[in-house]
Amino acid sequence: MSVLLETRALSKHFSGVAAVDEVDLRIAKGEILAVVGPNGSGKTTLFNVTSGFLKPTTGSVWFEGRRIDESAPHLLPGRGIARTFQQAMTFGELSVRETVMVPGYTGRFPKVDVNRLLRLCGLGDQAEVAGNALPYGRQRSLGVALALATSPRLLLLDEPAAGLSEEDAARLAALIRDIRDEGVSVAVIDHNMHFLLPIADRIMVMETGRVIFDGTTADMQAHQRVIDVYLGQDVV
Amino acid sequence: MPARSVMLKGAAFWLPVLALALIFPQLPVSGRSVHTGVLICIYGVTVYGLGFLFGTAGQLSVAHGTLWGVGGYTAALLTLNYGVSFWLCLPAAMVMAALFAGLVGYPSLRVKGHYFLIMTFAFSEIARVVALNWRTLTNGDTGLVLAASPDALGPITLNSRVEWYYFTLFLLVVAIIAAAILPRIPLGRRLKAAAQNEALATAAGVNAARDRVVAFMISGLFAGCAGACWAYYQHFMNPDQFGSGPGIEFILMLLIGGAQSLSGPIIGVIVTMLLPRVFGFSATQNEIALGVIFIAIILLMPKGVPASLGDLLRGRLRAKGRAA
Repeated sequence: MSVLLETRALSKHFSGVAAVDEVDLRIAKGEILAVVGPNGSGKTTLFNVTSGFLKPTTGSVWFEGRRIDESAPHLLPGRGIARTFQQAMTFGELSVRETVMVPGYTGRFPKVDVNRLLRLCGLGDQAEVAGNALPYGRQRSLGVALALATSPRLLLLDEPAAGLSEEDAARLAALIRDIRDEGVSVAVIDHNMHFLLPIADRIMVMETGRVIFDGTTADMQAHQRVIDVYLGQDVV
Repeated sequence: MPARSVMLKGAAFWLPVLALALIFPQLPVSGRSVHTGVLICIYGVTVYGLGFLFGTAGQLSVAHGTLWGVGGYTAALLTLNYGVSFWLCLPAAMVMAALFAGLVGYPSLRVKGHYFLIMTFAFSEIARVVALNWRTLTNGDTGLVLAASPDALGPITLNSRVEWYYFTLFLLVVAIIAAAILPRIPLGRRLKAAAQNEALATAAGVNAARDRVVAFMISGLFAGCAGACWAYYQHFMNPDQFGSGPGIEFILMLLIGGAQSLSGPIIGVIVTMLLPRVFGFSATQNEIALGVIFIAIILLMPKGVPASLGDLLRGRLRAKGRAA
């Protein structure tokens, strides 16, 4: 499979501390990559640098063969990279429908069928509800819907299943598979292994800013360092 | 609320108000009342521009007192130095005020909220000091006298207070219509989204910083237009008449009326303008009264007087309904 996004020796330091340390990340076309690791291991910082919200200290980010780490963050969705955030975010009192229409107001994205998109994300019956009036789990779904409204080729999801009920998490997992089946690559950060393992094609494990494992689910479950650092014996 | 219902509610408010405004000079009112009407219309144009900036982009600016001065000086200088007609001075003043807004807005690209307010305050004071000391251009604190009235434009003449009243009322209506439309165009939608959550808007492809500058420039158009009218109507421009003082007064007018409703700015302007006349306040008493009102509104009615009273009334009616 050809590489869609690549980071080369990517590092991000805060006050001299390496939050991301020499990471070589590769995401292939049509792949679901799970990024896991303990809190503070640099997963979200990696997403923030990859999506242009932070500039790397050293190293570079490449998307479809073009260097993108010098681009302003608002330009990256137009190039095909969409993201959600660790915290559920809304545009306050803007309705669910209005929220999903925001990318359309930039003139950078192809027109999307808003009703279909909202149904796909389980928000079809709440289109006119204010974003900040939605339950927490639905606000996370709204974040995914907003990202999808930019018609991305790569979707970066930061803890999308946090706070979701089992039923909503299962629906989100199915949605991620559907998105991948439509040709969109997905990178997902989450701590919920029951949510991640069934959908991930590949898993990357981070610890203190470094990648300590990159491979299949089966290999990860046999990887002693990953078990020690993150999984613990009960998950294996 | 369905769009049709909103339109009907809007028409029920605005049509009688417009009718009253149109017949006002024909009523048995004094020339001074018509003069106050002209000032209300001129201030109203500026405050609607400020209202768009605050209500949509969430940016509050002290600089509108200066942008209005830029409009006034542009009109005065073009007429006095080059004999340019008022009808050309008006768009030139709007463009110049918008350019100045861009000049302030561009270095403030990444600044918002309170920091933006402080930047605009600093700009206002710098501009006032420059205008005061650049005597070859502005004639310093002596000011500029614009003795002539505007040329006739076809049947439109601006030689009397009543003519000025109808002309500035027309500009105010245009400003209100623009303030109603701007939040609904793509720029307005992007600004509203970014004002609520800039990171999320950025992830949706919105260039929030650029949009804020454009919004500031658009609101500068309103201030420039009002400034040019004011210079011609008052026949005089002086550095003390613009800067942070009027800028704060415009903010007060906006906050009294509230920025979230279309009727808020004009209510705020009318209340602020009529206050000294109704109570017979001197200039100093009026400033004290406005200061007290300002603090009271910030503390007790942050949505503005009409919206807060509406909330109070609705609450009372609900309580009465429950009791019944």
